[in-house]
Amino acid sequence: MTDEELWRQVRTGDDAAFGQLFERHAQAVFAYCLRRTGAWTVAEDLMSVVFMETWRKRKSVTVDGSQDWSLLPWLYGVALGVTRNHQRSRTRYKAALGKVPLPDPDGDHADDVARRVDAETQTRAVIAELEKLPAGDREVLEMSAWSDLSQAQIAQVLGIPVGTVKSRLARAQRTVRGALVEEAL
Amino acid sequence: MIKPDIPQLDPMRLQVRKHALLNEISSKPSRRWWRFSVPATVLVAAVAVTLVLWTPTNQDAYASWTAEPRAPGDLAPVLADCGKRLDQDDADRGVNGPDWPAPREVSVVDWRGDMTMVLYTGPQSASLCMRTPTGVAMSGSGNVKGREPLGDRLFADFAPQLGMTDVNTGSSVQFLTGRVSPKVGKVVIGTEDGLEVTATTDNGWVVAWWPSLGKPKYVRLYDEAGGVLQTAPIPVRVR
Repeated sequence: MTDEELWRQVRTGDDAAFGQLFERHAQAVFAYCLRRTGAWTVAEDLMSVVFMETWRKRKSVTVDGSQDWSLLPWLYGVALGVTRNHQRSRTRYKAALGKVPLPDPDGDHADDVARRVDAETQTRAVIAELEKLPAGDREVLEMSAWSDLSQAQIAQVLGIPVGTVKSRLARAQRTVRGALVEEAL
Repeated sequence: MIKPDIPQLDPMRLQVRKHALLNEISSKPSRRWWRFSVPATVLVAAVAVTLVLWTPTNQDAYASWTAEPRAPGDLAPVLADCGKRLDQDDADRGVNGPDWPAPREVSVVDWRGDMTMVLYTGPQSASLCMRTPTGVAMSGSGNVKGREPLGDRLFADFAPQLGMTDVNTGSSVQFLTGRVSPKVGKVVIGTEDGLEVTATTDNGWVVAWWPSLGKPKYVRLYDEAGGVLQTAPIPVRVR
């Protein structure tokens, strides 16, 4: 089923359809949250928050009838908001997040831990460079580099004209290109 | 490209998160939701409307009232202001506010005098936003587990109706919300004190207000051609 077909069911309160959309997009949302925050467990929580917020606001999300409509731009938009205010977002859903079982410590092998630490270390180095950018430029660059969204979709997510996306992206790329070569490329 | 290698979440972990999410969104509301919903709603609405409409500098808030709705104006600022109140309801949900999701569907908008009313509806709830040049008030009700179908009826009003009087100025106001059949083109509410108010209808919903505490006494329903379909006493209430 397409996102559009599933979403029409979600709007009627179908949580099974919502579960399918979660399986389809959760990894992308998690990766975006991890890249924004640099913290694995925080990103996991924020991924859940993004989907809880999306469910809560499901009546606000309408299908525009375009071909290949995807829920992903909306999810990125929500993810941007919750990562901007991630402490407040997690506090708001504290009770729900507290019900999520912790990872099984026996299954947390050394390789897996090392993998997480490496990911966090690399991501934080990039974040440190990106924090030197103005917030608007940074968000455009992150969305462009870390999602598969088109510039038109990024404009939609961020609520700015496409021309502004292009100009911010060009400016941000000029600023960070040199600094990020060693850490991220 | 800025793409440090990001490992994906373990599939098992993803399933844990998915099931926790689905459990959360399908969990049943607490009993507290039923116990306090209506009284708290009415209290909040009464206080808010009094503050907005009967401030000392705004004693003639209803001077511009008309029995017929006026032409629609710019809806965007109205929805922006009302949306903030709904957002606040959601932010306070279960703590300082109602324990149901704020409804977001705009069902009907009534333009009358200085006040614009927007009725938002959702599967479990309805919220009436009242916006004047001096502020915004919100009255909500919830706990409807599946709204009762209108069936063959042409009209049904909602309980409780909201009415109040300001003790300082003696000004009063009464609101009515309800549902109406698509067969109906126009709804006129007659009140105990002799007013006849043309309600606004859209999407199967009806709203009206009038500047008195006269209870709604009867409803007269017209078809699109202007013929009278029915005159019935009020209340004709549903959930």
